[in-house]
Amino acid sequence: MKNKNQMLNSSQADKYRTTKFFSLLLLYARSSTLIALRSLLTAHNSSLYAIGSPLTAHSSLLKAPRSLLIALCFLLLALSSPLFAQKILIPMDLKQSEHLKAYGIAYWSLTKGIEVDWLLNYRGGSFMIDNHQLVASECLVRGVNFEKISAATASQIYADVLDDNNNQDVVRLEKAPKVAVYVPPNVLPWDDAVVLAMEYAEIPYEKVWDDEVLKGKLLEYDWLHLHHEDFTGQYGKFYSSFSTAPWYIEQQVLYEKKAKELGYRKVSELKKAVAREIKEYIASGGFLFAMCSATDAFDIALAAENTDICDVMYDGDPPDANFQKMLDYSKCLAFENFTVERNPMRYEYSDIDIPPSDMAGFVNQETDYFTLFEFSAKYDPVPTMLTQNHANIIKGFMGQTTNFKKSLIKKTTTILAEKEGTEEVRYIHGNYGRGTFTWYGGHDPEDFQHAVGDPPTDLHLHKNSPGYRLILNNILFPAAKKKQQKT
Amino acid sequence: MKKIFLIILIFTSLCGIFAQVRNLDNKFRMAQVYESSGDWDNAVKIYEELYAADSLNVVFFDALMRGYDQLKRYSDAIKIINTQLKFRPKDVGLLSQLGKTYARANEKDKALNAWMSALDVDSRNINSYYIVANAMVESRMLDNAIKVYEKGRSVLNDKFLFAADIGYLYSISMNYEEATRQYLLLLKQNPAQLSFIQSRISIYTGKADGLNSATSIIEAAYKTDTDNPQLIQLLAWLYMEGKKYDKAFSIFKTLDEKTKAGGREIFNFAERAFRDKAYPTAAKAYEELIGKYPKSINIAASEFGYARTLEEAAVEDDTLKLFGDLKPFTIKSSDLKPSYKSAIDAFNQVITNHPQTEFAARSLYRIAFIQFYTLFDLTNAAEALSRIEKKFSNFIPVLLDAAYLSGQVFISQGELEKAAEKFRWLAESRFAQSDIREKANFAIAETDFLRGNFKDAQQKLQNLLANPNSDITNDAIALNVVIQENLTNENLLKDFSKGILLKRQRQFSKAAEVFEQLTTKQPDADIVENTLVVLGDVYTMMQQYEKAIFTYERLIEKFPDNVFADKSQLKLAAVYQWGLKNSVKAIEAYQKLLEKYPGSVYVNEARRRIREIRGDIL
Repeated sequence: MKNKNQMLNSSQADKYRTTKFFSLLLLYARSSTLIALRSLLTAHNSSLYAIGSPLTAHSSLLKAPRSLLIALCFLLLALSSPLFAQKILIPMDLKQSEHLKAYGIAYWSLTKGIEVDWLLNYRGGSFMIDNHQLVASECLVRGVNFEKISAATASQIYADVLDDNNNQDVVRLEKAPKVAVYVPPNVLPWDDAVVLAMEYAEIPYEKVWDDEVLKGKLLEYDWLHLHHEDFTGQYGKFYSSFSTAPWYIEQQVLYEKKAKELGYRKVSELKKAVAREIKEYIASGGFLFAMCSATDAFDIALAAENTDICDVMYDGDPPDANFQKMLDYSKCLAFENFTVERNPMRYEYSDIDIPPSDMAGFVNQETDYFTLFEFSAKYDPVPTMLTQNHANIIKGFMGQTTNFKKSLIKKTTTILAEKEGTEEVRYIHGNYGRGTFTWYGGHDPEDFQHAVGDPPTDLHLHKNSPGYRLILNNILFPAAKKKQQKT
Repeated sequence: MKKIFLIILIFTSLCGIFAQVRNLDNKFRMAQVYESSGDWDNAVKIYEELYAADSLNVVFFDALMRGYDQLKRYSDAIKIINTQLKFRPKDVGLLSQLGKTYARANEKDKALNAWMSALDVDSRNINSYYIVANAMVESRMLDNAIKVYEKGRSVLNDKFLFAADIGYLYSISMNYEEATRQYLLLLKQNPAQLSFIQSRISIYTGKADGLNSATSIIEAAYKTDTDNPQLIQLLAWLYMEGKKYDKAFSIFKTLDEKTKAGGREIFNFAERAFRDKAYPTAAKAYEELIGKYPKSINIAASEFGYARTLEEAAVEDDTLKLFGDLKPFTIKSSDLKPSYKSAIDAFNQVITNHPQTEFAARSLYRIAFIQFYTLFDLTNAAEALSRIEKKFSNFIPVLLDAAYLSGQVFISQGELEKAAEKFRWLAESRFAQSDIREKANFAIAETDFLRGNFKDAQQKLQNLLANPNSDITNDAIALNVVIQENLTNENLLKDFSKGILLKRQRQFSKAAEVFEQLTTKQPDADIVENTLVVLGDVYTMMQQYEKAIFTYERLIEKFPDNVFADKSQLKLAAVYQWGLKNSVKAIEAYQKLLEKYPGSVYVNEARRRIREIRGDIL
C-alpha cells in the first residue's frame, strides 16, 4: 500500500510537507501555550485562599522551557485572530444583556464538566470558559452575550487580572453546587426572590422541609437557601393582619401537625430544632443563604433555645415573662444584644431590623439605595465574589426584615453592603465552623414594597438586575472550591 | 340620742368600708400599672392580695388568672379555679377555663376531663358545646373540638347541628372530604344557604386536592339525590372550577330541566364554554339548546354561537403572522373544507331560520370571511357580501366590515377600480370609526400601488404617515419606502406591483415567474431586495421549499443590511422546521438568526423554537 507522499507528485509533496510542518508547529504552539496557561492558573489557584502573592504563578512562567517562549511568540502572530478562538468570555459589565442568565450558563457549563474561571472584578465579574461550541450555542439560545477570544487575548486578560496592581483575581469554578431550598409544602401568598432568580437563570434546585432537615439530609447539598421562613414559630408574625386568612389558618394547622408528627409539643420547638440542625450543617461545611425575615428569625430562634418567646396565639401559652434575659447571644451566627419584640400584634421580630416607621425621615423609593463594599480580590476573594456586580450602588427594597442594625451585628461578621450614613446594613457574610452564611435584607430586589398576595416579579423585565445578581453570586460561590463535608 | 348614736355608728362603718374599698381600688390600679409595664411578678403579688381580700370579686379573679397565665403558674391557677368551683360547681365557663389551663400545663387528660364535666352540667344546652369547643380550638385541639360538636349533635338528636362549625374545622384541618360532607348537611337543612356554602367550599377549591375532594363528595351526593337543584348547581359550579366542561355540560342540562329554565342554563353554560375556548363542549351545548328548545329567546344567539364555535374550532393559532394572512404550513385548505363546510352550513341555517336579523347579517359576513381568507373561494365570498349590501344595509357595523372585505375580494379578483370604490365609500362613511377609515385609506393607497399609480399612492400615504398612533402607520411606512426607493426605476416597480397582485390573487406560479424575471433583469436594483422577500414566501406557499431556502439565503447574502433579513432568516428556519421537517437544520438556522441579528425582534421567538425542538422543559 502506498503512503500519501508516494501518491503525490514532487511539487504536491513539497506543498504537503510545508503545510504539515506549519500545522504541527501550530499545534505545538497551541498546546504549549495551553499547558503554560494551565500551569499558571494551577499555581495561582493553589494559593487562592491563602494569604500570599501570585508571584508563584509568575515564577512558573519564568521557569517555562525556551520552546514555550518561542511558541508563545508564534502564538501571538498565529492565534491572535478570533478564528483561532480559544476562550469564551462572558462579560458581566454593561455589555451584558442577560446578567442573570449568565450565571445559569456558568452553572450549566459546570454540570457538563466544563470548568469556569470567574474573573473577579474584571468587567463586572466576568466568566471565562474554554471555547466549546456547546457553550457558545447555549449562550445564544439563552440570550447571554459572549465574546470569542483568542488564546493571546485570553492570556493577556489573565495576566492583567493577576497583576498585583489590579484589584482583580481568578477563581476556578469546578463543580456545580447541589442546591436545596428550605420551603414549606403548602402554598403561601408570596414569592421568594431566590427561587425566582434560580428559575429564571435555569439553575436546578430541590426542596427540603423539616423532615429532611431533621433526618440529616442537608449534608447531601452544597448550598441551602431559606425561603421566607420564621424559625421563631410565630408564623411570620402575620397574626394582626392575616389571622383569619385561609392560608394563615392552614399554615398554622399544617405546622402544628408536623410538629406533633416529629415529636415536638410546639411549632416553635420544632423550628428551633430545625434552626440548630441548619447551624450544624453550616459547621460541617455547608453554605447558607437567607433573605428577608429568615435572617433575623434564624438567629433569634438560636438565641431563644432555652426560653419561650411566643405569645398565646402562636403556641397556646404566653411567652416566658423574662425571656429577654434568657436569650443566649453566643448561639447566634450574626447578631447580638438585640431585643425581641414583645408585642405579638407588631409585624417585627426584634430591633435587628429598623422598620420604616422608626427610620429618621421618610423612606423614599427614589432615594433608597445601598452601597456594596469593595474588598481586596486577592486577599479577600470570598467577599469579593459575593459583591461582584456591574453596579456598586444598588436600589433598596423592603421586606419584613429590610436591614440589620449595625450596632447589633457581631464583630466576626463581615458587612458587604450598607446604606451609607445610616445604621442600616443590607448584606452580611460570616463563617461558622467549616461553612459560611450570607444574609441579604429585603424581600424582592426589583419590587420596592412587595406585599402579601402581590404577583411574582417577572425577571424577563429585570434581566440586568444588580440586586438579583447578588443572590446569584451566592449560588456560584460554593463552586469555587471543593469542601469537605461531615461524614 | 340613740338615733344620733346609730347614725354615727353607720357613718363610721360606712367610712371604714369606703376606705377599705378605696384601698383595694388603689391597689388594683397599682397592679394594673405593673401589668401594663410587663412587670407581672409585682402585679401578681398585688392581685393575690386583692383576691385574698375578696375572693368573690370576679375582676380580681380574672386579673389573678391572667397573671398566673403570663407567669405560667398553671398549678396556682388550677388551685384558684378549683376553689372557685366549690362556690360555683356548675359554672360551665369556669370548668371550661379549668380545661384550658390544664391544656396549657400540657395535662391533656385532665383538660379533657374538665371539659367533659362542663358538658355534663347541662348536656341539653347548646351553648355548653360552643363554649367547650371554642376553648379547645383556642388550645389548638381541633380534633377534640370536632368531637365535642359531634357529641352535641348526638345528645341533642339533631344531625344538622353545628354543620358549619364542624365543616370549617375540617376544612382548616385540610380534611376536605369531611368538610364538604358537613357543608352538604347544611345545604340539606337550608337550601337557601347555597351561596354561603359555595363561599366556604371555595376556600379550598383553589387547591387540586381540595377541588377533587369536594367534587367527589358532591358527585356521590348527587347520585343519591338527583332532583336537588342546589346540589346540581353546586356540582355544576365545581365542574366549571375544575374546567371539566363535558361533565359540567351534562349537569347543566339536568339543572336546566329541574329548574325548568327553558334552555337558559344551557345557553349560559355554552357562552361561558365558548369564552373559555372549550369549543367542542360549547358546540354540544348550543346544539342541545337548538334541538330541545327551538322556541327559546336565545335560539338565534345559540345558532349563531354554534356556527362560530365550529368556525373557531377549525382555526389554527398564528399570532406571529410570519407570512401575513397566508399559512403555508397548516393543513391544505382542501383538508380544511369539511370542518369549515359545517361552519358555513350552520351559518346558512341561521340565515334561513332568522332572516332579517343581525344574526343573519353576521352569519353572512362570517361565510364571506371563511370563503375568502380560508377557502379562497372568491365567487362565494363576493356573493355573500353582495347579499349583505342588498338585504342587510340597516345593520351598519356589519355593512362596514363587509365593505372592507368586499374591497379585498375585488383586489383578489383583479377588479382594482371596484375595490378602490369600496374603500372610498368606507373612508367617507360617517358611520365608520377613525380606525376603520384609516384602514380604508391605506387600502386605497395600496390599490393605487397595485395599479401602478405610485405617485397617487404616495400622496395618499402621506396623511397616514402623519399619524404615528394609528395601527396602520407601520404598513404605510413600509409601502411608502418601497415606492420612494424604487420610483426612479418605475418599470421594475411596476413589475414588482404586478407580482404582488398575482400573489394576492394566489396565482403563485405566475407571481414566481414575474419575480424571478425581475431579479434577473437588473440583479443589482434596489427592488430586488423586496422581490426576494416575497419570492421566498411564494415558493414556500408552493411548497417548493428548497427554492424558498435558496431565495431567502440569496436575500440575506446579497443584502445583509436588508430590514427584512432577520425575518427572512426566521422564515428560512421555519421552512426547515415545518416544511422540510429537518430539526437539525432548523436549529442551525435559528441559531444563525441569534448570531447575526442579536437585536432582532424575532430573537425570543427563535430561542423559544430552538428550545421547543430540543424538548427543553420551559
